[in-house]
Amino acid sequence: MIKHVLWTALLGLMTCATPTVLAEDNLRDFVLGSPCFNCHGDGSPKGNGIPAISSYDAAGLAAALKAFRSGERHSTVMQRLALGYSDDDIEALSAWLAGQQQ
Amino acid sequence: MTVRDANTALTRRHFLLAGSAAGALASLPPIVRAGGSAGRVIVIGGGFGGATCARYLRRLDPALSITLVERDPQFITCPFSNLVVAGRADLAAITHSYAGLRAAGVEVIHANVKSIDAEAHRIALEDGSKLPYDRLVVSPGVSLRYDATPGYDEAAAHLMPHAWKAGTQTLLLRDQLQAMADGGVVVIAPPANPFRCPPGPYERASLIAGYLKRHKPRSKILILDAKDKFSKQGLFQDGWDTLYPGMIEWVAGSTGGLVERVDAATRTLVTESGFTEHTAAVVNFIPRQHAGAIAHRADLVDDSGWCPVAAHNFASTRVPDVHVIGDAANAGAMPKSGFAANSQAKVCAAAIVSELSGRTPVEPSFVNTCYSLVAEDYGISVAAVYRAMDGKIAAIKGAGGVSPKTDDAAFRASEAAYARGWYASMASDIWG
Repeated sequence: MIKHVLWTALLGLMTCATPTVLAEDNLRDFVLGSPCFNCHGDGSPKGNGIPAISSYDAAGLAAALKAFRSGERHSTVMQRLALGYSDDDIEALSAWLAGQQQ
Repeated sequence: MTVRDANTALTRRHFLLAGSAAGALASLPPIVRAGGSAGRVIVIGGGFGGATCARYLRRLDPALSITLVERDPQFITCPFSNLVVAGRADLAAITHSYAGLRAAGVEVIHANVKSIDAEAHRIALEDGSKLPYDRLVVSPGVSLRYDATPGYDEAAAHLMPHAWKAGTQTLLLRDQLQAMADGGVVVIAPPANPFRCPPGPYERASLIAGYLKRHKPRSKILILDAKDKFSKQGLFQDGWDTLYPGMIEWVAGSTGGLVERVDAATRTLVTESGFTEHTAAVVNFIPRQHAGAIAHRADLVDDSGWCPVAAHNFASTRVPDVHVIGDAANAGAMPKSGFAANSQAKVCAAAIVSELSGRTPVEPSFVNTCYSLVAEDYGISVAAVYRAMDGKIAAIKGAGGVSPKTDDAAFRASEAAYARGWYASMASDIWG
């Protein structure tokens, strides 16, 4: 029952996101960064139990991703994902994600 | 982002479009709306792929006209439907309306698509109306192949539910499990590759085992598999040994698992050229699959049963100005998953926006992260990052992979919690 209440609350939260008009010149950054929304939310404060992107600025995001990638910072799935990105990718997607915060 | 910012972006966009719109006007007379841009995109299918694509096309270029055509008034997700099968979630928890997409400026039409006229750039709905497009995105998911296993047709699915499209089938399987007496055998029969959600049948076995352990502990699960190996196999089997010892038996395809025909009335499955017959209390038969029906009608499908597409923009290689995303597409190394469809939809949306405005193509990047629940507090995952390499979608070497082998219950519990967070964030990203 508690689970059902939680689900209802989560589903209620889902209706609150406001659309963002994206800048015109960053489609590549969008392609790199937007899959992060799928787990971490879209820049709003809620992360649904997963650390929210809005907890970080661009430098913080890039530092966290590099620390996950090296294994310096413990993770479940993030090291496996971060290993797929170069330093340039990480800088670009971190800056883009930081700009999406609502 | 304020309203003023949105207007500024719109104005800049019109300025940028001025050059390309003039060229487009000559070839596409019915499509240019007064005061609008030259872009009209129709998306067929409002699931993980199509709804994502419609939403992000709208977000990336508010001047585009976006119409989503979807058969059903609501979308029920296959992800997390195994919790419904196991009696641990309601269908309402995995059902999403299209109000969020409408609020985001997507026109949503609930209708069946009858045909696609690629030459005239328009689709016909079953009521006879026709809708023109500049670009068409087809995201129809899978069709179940009722011709692949003798005895398993649509009527048989009422007795041996596939529950591979979430909704009434999910509830039918749940109800059969709840009606079963303790000590019964539940058969799950997963299909050969490729199919929607590769780890899905094994998550289902896990969560059903959890239900049986709680309520019918003398019962057993027999997995008659068409394959000799399966997604996250080592992790699932370790979890089964730990959580459900002796309850789940898996039979590989080459050692007697391949189901050759079924008799739905007696819930019997025949394997090994008729030498073995399995009769069970509940049978979850998951048939082979191919691209959704509209993809076949529109000639988007090749001999494989799936839709060949270009890796950088998911444009059909068979029909111009049509893109195919999600489970129906042959996406190289990417699995048929909701996350993969969402990731493809974002690349496709960016590609369409850049192509319609005559800009440089965007180099694609894709991600997949799939969680499975072995129990409600025991999660495992597989992840990968993909790029287009030599025209094919390939996983980046050295990245990705499955959860580590570990006895650390806290690690598994974290991944179970993240699975729920994934679901909530994903649903919000798509239908919120």
